[in-house]
Amino acid sequence: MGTSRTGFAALATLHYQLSHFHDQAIELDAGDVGWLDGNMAAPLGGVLRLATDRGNTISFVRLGDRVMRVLSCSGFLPTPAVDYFHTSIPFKRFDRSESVAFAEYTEQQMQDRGIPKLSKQLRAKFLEGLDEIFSNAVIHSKSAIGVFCCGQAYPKSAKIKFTISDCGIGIRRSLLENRGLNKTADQAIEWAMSEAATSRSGDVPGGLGLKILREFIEMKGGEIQIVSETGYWHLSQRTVTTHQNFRPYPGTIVSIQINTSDRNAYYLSTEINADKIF
Amino acid sequence: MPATIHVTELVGTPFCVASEDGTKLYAAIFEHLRRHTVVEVSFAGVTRLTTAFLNAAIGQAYGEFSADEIREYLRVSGLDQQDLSLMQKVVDRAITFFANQKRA
Repeated sequence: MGTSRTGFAALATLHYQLSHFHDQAIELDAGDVGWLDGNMAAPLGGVLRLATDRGNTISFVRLGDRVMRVLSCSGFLPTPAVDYFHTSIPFKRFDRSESVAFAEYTEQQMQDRGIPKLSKQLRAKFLEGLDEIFSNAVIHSKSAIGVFCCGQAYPKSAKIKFTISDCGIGIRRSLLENRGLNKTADQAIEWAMSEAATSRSGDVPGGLGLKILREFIEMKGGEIQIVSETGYWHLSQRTVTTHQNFRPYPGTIVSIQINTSDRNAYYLSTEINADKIF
Repeated sequence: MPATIHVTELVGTPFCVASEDGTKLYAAIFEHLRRHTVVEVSFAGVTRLTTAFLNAAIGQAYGEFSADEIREYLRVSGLDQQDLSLMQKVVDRAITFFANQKRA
């Protein structure tokens, strides 16, 4: 289960299958799962939490060694495992009121663990991107069970993947409820990622966070994948592809990937004078 | 000397990421703008900044005060070029946001 459309679709199918069960002891047969990206623990955690909140208990059977190791290193499974290579950014759930705790978690994990090769500026922009994704979930998702996060570094291919998932109303519904715009799930994601979009009304402006993330990822040649209900949106090599999945994911997933070996400075086009900013 | 608001002291953390903390800062700024007294907002020591925080702290001022009033009475310091870029985007967005609200 990679960080891909098929990986996310598999989680949506798992949610669909689990949604039929209440107050049951469920065994998940993981015999066919040969690999799982560590960061995919974030949406997996959301799906399983929804199932356990319906009174179910869940256990894995036929879990392969590689997958068990990945899930143990991230702290997703309680089984102890030593993350020798310091490549896991642990699985963690936050309430929507915990933006500061999320910032502390990423700050600490990016210092103490296995992301030593990022330039100072890339690290700052990466963390800024994560903060913006988290803020977006806080402001728009209405997720009753919080926000699930997990990351994985891949030193050999010089990549970090980080995934943030909520189990909220999704971008399509947020747009419908706040702006009265009726779009398909993939169109709603595209709208949210466009320059002028905001679903906010009232006293506080909004609608910048995801655009800033997109600008950064496009400049650095990384990837963004967004899943929201049946919508799938993928930015890679400055090219966007969208897709409608068969089964809806119960909320929104935002996953980013950056190249950790990037050393190019992130230049601004013009110098900004603080005295003239207003 | 203008009054100075030290952001890290006000919100109690160098992580200026939460919209609620931004609203706290706006409440402090609001009093100065309302009384037409100059206030400097010092971001010295801030290590993380989001648009959610800045929208609440600075952006919403454009819904209650004119751009001229904000320009005359509000100062910022302690922001590096990346953060100033973020602030610039928030200011531009706020001006558009409230102009669109007035038109609607």
